[in-house]
Amino acid sequence: MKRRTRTLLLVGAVVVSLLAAFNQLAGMSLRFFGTSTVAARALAHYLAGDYGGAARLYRDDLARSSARTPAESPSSWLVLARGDLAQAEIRAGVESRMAPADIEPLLTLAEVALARGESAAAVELAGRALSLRRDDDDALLLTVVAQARQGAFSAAIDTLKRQLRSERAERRRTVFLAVLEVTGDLDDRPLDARPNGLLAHLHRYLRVYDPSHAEAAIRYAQRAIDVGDRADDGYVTLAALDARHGRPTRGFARLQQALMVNPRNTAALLDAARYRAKRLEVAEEYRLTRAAYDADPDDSFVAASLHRLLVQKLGDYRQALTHAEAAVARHPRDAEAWLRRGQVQAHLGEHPAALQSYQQAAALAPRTAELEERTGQVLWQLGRDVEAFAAYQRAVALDPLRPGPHHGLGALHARARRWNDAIREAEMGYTLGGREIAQIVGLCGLYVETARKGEATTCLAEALGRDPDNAPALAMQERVRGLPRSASASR
Amino acid sequence: MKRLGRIVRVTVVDLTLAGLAAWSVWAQLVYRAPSRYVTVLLAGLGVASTGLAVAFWLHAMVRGVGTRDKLLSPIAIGYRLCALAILGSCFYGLFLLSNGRFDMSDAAHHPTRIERIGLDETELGIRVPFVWADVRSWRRPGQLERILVRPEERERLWSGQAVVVSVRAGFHGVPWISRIEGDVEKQSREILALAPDAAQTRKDLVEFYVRLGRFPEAAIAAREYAERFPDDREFSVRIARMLTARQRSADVVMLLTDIAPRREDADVHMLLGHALAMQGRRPEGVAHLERARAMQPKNWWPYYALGWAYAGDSDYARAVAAFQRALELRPGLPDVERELQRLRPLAARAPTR
Repeated sequence: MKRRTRTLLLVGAVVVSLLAAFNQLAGMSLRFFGTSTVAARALAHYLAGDYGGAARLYRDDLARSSARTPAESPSSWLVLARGDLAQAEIRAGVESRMAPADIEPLLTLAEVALARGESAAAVELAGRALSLRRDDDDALLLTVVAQARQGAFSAAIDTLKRQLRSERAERRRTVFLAVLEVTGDLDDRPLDARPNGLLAHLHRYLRVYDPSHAEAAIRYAQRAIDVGDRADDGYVTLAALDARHGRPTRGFARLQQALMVNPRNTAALLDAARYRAKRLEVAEEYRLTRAAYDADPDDSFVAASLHRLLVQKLGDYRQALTHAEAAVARHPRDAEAWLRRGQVQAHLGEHPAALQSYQQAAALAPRTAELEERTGQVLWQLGRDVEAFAAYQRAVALDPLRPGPHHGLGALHARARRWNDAIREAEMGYTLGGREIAQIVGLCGLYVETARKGEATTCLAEALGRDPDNAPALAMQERVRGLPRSASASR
Repeated sequence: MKRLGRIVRVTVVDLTLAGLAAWSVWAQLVYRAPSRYVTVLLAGLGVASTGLAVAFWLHAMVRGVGTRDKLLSPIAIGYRLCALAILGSCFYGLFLLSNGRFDMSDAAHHPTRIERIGLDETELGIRVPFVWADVRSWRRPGQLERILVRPEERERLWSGQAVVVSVRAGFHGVPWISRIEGDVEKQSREILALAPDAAQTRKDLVEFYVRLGRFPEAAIAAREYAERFPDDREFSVRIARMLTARQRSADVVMLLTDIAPRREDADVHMLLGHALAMQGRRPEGVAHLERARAMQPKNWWPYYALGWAYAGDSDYARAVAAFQRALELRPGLPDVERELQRLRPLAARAPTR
């Protein structure tokens, strides 16, 4: 081979390698790239596939950077991040006594237990956190790590599946490192001793931060299927990755394989329902979601999925109420079940009963903007404007970017004939994305009432563009034709 | 300097050609004409031409920096052929655009089935710009029609799906597809078999029938809805208004006849009264309209409808009185003003009833 050809081939190989390296690095989260030498070593270990070693080095790096973080009274987590387990435990105990409903100290205690190798205690503490905040991502992931350390791989898969369906990631860096470490430790086992099913799920989780984990997830899932280690969940993992890679139909075929193995796999049923929903096959979506509910009616996530489908798509309020009543009867302390019950009762026009359900939900769990907004809507229907006003204001305080409460406040101001306030709030709701047809028509009504012809015309054009037969909008359009040109319109 | 100017000129020409090719593809997607081969061929041609144009542009850049220039070289001929292909495709796009844009015809809706979706999901997970659907032909039984699928339709169309294809006649007489949607009727019936209390599904079905101009079916489905959900007055009134606007009096009567005795509702009496009067059942219609008028004395519409009902019954004096009141409540109704001019002399001549 000529020297020139050899050089060309060498340059080509270097370019291809650089491109491949850049492709992997470009997809990785910035959390892998620290500025210290320890972080650089951690990255090297990570890229070499030594996830356990990388996690331990990243933890050292975190301890050093946390030690530099000035804090008069550092939180228990910060102390934990600094590596002082004893102090973190003491501080978490104090925090827990001061705020018993706060899950953060419980999570710190669980992490401390995990670091000391007390997996059973970690599972118990994370369980207490989950009883305070169901489906908290950090608590679920800590449980997964502890269960994996205990060798309870099947339970760990169940817990990780619960976390994966939320499509969220953890808040605590330390929890991420615990997941990375346990993945590395399990990866390092001899091939026949590896829990393939769990590793497939762990790599699927880590894919959020580094897409290259998808390959490992596929490899382990395929192996899990081959050896019969929760094969149905293996197919679900493959399906999720297919969907991520733009092959949803192939993913759906995998889900069908999963359901052939286990027809009661709720993850497969719900993912298949989601696929059908995207294709607007509502009957199939309903059949699959209903099958998931029948398989596990006590799973709040599944119950909420069926509830959303029944209320938002099908409008089958009677069936939704039956399920909500059953959920409340089975779990009288489940705030979400009470919220769902109230929502259906409000749809059915049973406003006093809906209010009671919402009050029950508020008594059982911290108030949310959604709950306050729904309470405001029911109070508005009942003509209890002062209380409705307070509920909407609480909703705005909890989530200022939520459009519904602003529209609610607008309606209340309008009822009191405070037109400027009403328009301000309704416009705020519209700007924040509250553009349901009823909300738009409500805003148009305010423009008509205040004889703002220009704004009213534009607003009605939008409303009638979306619903040409909207009777209130048509009636308003007639009124607008009789209005003189407003100052704002003539500008 | 001369060389630089040449490079700039070539670049501008090629970018313009690429823009035109993209536009022609857009026009073919939006104002698509069903065709077994031509659409896809043209779309493929557009892609090939764009690719070639880019390649030739790169080549031209190389030539621009020193390679010998031969005007009639094969590259230059190929370049011109590509440009011509793009321009041809562009003219075809222009034709389709005018065919669809100026088309005032109503859409004809054909229930059919997608047999195959082409290039929908590649093994590599790459999304290709052209996806087409092979649909059972509604005009040539046993054959297929190939239709380009718009990006927003991709996720909700699939092989084996029952769909409704909305075909319009076209300004130049070339039929084109304005919409492909899932067959809501089939889907809704499937859902209702599983969940008969699905109120929203029933509503969607009624509105689907109205949109497709299947008014008797809309009225029947709306009546079924009203029987199942008697507390929801708004939906029945909404559909009755839609049917009234489309002059479907018989369907309004079918929808509201059973509802009116159950519910003392001014809108129901008004719409039913008007529909009955339009059907020639004037005494019944007038009775309902009078009740609506009594319930909503400030609403011009019952008077307006009463005016037409009385006029149809040759009761000119009452017709004039009703129209006058309608005009007082809602000034500027041109048809009422015209009708009053016609009826006043007749009322003056006619004996009082």
